[in-house]
Amino acid sequence: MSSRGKGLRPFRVGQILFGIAINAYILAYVQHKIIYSGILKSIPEPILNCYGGPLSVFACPLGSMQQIIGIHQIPWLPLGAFLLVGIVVGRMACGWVCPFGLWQDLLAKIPFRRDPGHRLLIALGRDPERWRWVALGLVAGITALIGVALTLVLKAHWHRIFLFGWLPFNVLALLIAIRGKMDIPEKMWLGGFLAAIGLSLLVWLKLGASFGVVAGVAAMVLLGLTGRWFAAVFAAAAGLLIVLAGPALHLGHLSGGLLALVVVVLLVALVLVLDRVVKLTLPATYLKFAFLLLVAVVVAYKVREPWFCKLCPQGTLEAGIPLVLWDPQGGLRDLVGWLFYTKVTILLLVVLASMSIKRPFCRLICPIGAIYSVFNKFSLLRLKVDQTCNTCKLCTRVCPMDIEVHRDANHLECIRCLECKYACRPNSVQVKF
Amino acid sequence: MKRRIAFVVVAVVALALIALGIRLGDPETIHRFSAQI
Repeated sequence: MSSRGKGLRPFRVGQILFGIAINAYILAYVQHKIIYSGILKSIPEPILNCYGGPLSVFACPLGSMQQIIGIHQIPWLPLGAFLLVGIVVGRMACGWVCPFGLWQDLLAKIPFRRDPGHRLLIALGRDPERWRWVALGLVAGITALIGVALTLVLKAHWHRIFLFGWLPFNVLALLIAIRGKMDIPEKMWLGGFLAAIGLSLLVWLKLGASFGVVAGVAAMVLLGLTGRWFAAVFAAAAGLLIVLAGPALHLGHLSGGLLALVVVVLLVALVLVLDRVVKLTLPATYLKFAFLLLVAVVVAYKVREPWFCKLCPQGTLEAGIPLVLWDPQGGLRDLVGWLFYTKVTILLLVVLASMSIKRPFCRLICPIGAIYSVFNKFSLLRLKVDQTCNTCKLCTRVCPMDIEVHRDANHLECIRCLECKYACRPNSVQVKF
Repeated sequence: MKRRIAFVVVAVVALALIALGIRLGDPETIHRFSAQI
């Protein structure tokens, strides 16, 4: 096979073989055991793979890290393992080993008509930029109606539907409506991000830690990526609703409507000053560092539970859904509640996003990817683009992480899949040790 | 050369952390949580 041929790439073979090897406990189905509980479960694997899955053989390093942090100890073994893998190959495990990466790669191959609304508007002679906001309003209105319907049908508290059904759905809808085409924005806005943290703390105070974490996860993506006017208006409306709904909240002498007013003014001021005046931004892909530090470390320490695992779409796919559907010993289906539906909603969003965006979970959310990415710049394994590069940008087109390889071959997002090396006609991309 | 030295130092630190984790009982802790739902 030619190195530039269309055959199965070595990293794809690696993904498939590792995916099978780390999920090889088929005895679970033969012996009707729920999960494997042998000695191998003491060993963390190098990537995200839920240890609660019925086929899983090893331990997820992120779950292990959160569990150890949860009992207020330092996770020496997972940290050492991350450090060792990272310093040798950087983020290569994400490209060659991770089954959830393979899942996203396969979803990206599903034919999906990109931005049909954009084409329709051009055909009708309308300005897509202006009408995009109309689309946003329509999406918000339709999803609000869905929220109302769910509230009436499920007889659930309306603010829970808002936070856990309507809000995550809008993350995807906004990406479509605001960007015009499905891709992650280049920047995350600090004002929107801090407003999301503020909203999360409000929900935490009002409804408890679990709802606070879920709201925070959704709001970090939604407000962090949109920022500016939308984040200001959304944060103000959400802050008002959160303070006025549910159990009463007192902060000093402030309560009720007065507290709501203060919260709204503070949130709007925060977003507008930082996002409109100072314009503080970071690359959008830095959002995964927030997930690592806030959800996988701070929340795990404070709540003593692995909250990233509880919401992880990979865990829902390989553990949550199979276990609930299979339920060999009975009783698991009775545990299904709001958290399960929230997990499924997050998984659906990731699946939908993956059909049009290259590896959205890896680029925006995965804390393990965040850890390994730090090592890309000085790991033993490195990529180098030599002087024969003619800047044809073919490497960028084939890159599963949308990196401009010719500019920065060891970008934080590079998963060392070597697609760029195979595609490069002058053979300018070299692997170095 | 600097990168090689950095690699050796970090690799040694990583192995030391793994050894420390094993000595302090991380595998047993991980097993306790990962072998149950």
